[in-house]
Amino acid sequence: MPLYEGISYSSDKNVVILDIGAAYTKCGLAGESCPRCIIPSQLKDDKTGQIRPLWEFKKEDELFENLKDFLFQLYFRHLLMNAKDRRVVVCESLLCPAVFRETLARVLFKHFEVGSVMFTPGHLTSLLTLGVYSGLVMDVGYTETLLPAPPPDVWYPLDGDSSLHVSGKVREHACECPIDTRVKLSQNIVITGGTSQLPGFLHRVQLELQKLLREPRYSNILAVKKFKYHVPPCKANYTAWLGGAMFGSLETLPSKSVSRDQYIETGKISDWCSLDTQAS
Amino acid sequence: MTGILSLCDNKIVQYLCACGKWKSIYRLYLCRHCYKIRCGDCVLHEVDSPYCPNCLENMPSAEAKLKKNRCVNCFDCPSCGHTLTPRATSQMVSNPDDPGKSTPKKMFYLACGFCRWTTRDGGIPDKPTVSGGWEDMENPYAARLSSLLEHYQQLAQREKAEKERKKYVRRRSHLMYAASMDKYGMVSVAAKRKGLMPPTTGTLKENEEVTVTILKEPDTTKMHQRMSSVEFQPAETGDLFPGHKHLLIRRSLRCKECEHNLSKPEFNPLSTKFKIQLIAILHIPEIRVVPGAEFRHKKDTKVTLTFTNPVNTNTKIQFLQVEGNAGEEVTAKIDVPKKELVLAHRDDATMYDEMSSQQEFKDDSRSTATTLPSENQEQQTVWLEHRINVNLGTLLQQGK
Repeated sequence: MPLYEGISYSSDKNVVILDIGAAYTKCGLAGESCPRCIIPSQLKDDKTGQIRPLWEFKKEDELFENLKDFLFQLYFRHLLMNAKDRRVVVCESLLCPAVFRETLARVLFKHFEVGSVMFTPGHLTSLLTLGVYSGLVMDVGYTETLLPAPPPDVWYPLDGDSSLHVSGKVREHACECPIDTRVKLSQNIVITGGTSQLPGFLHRVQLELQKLLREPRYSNILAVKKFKYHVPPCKANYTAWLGGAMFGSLETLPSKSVSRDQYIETGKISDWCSLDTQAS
Repeated sequence: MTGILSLCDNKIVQYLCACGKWKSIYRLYLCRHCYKIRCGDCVLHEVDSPYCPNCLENMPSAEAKLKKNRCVNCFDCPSCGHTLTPRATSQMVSNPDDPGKSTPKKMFYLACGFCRWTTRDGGIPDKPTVSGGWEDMENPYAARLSSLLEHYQQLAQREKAEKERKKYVRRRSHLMYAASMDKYGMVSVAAKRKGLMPPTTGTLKENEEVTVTILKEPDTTKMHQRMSSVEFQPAETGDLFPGHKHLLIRRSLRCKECEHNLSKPEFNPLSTKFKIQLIAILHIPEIRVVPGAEFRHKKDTKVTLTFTNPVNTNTKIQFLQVEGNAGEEVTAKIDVPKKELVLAHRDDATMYDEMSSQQEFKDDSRSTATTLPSENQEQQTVWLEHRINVNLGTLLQQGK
């Protein structure tokens, strides 16, 4: 029902959900079914016409200015709302560099004076959109490497367990997981990320996994027989955002966010810890 | 496109803002209450009112949020982003009263004047009315999402209630402790029985067979075309459909310290005037450097500056010798004039008169401080102090 789109039971309306990816940024309000905008994570210099990617920075001050201008555009050109005293949820990758996180927090709290910020791991929120408690989330995003032929980075965070970081076409799958979780994880695979929307990508992943399973080094070790994939209720490039939006519309958001007063007191953001939104 | 601003704003004369940045006078504001200079970075930007750039209709913020900041009447071309205009054709439709004859009926379609895309290219049928009838596509997952969301709300409510209870219950009994430890997975079993598990997807796929029949190269959409419709992201140009036009906002500025407005636009989006416009150039003398001074190494040079008084009262300017602070470059020794400068009040009538009297001053200034009186009704004189950085160019090459 488009009229009642975006009902949130929490007392705050207008919680902003941000997912700043390496290539694209997804931004919108909590409780809605899709982001308001998906724009490239880059800034255009008005005077020179040059385009600067957001993640390309040498010093922290440069990143501060870039993020400030970028968020300004997001708030006043796409979201059309004030930043002051409103809550923000930031979906990020677990492997996000600390300097980016801290600078983003500084921009949000000091310059825009937002009410509170909550950093959530993007892979966890992807599972939120499906309603499963554990799964193997494969986020195929866009990250440039320094190799001449840059392959996309693929992350395999496991719910609560260690995360693997793989580059290239071969997916070394699940060997390092504890044996109890392997079967469950292989039955709950979620593939998200913009690059996975390439036509034929999913098919290729399945073929490769099946092929690898038949190879001796895996069939001896793994007890996994088949793989099952979840289909998230949205396009793969904003699954993490959607989970963040769902989480942002809940009443429990204030208790899990860092408020502005807390930030000014302590001056830092605590590093990620596994936040189980489903308490049970 | 070079406007007047880009001609004047060449960063030769810069003022120090209260936040520590050097900006030219065209980008600064003066807060009347705390008498400080503010720039765009140290001022609070606020959304004043959203409006549609095509039909110039002001929309109240609440309605804008409901409509996802999109105009109700105007549409954007999905191919290039330009505004779509409705065009009329007449179609022969069979007359309901007289089955034999057919009468011409006006049917409308949307067309783009720039890239020539029409709704017919997207496979959308023509509509009988000018303004109405262009449906919005609905998200196919809407029901699933809303049920998921409801479930999470319940969980969250539960968690919140438990937390409130925990505040009052200090000591937990032994039984409760065991349950919260959940060693044998009893809690989740109990939760399942209570029906607290979230609705699962139910669409676990084992194999996705991709049959790619390539009979002809499909016309793929570009990324920016895809992202303009976030929910559907059509991959082929045949699937593109018009979206509602995104609104723009008018911004108002507020001083962070004293919470007074520095700039507030008028309600009418067409108007270029402001209700409140406390920009620096209307209050502080503008300084321009007269070109032509040549600088030689270790020789005195005269530099001529022009001061323009923007206010209706006479302005007095005092020059103070300034020591360079850390981070500021003072590369010349400056002799400032000892006398006070008096600038005549701004008289709009004489601006267009060619026989106006001029006052010229000869002084050397690298970093000056000026002061100015305010133009209150009580004729109060306020002295303001500014630090000014003037970039006078480079030294001439030796050997001339």
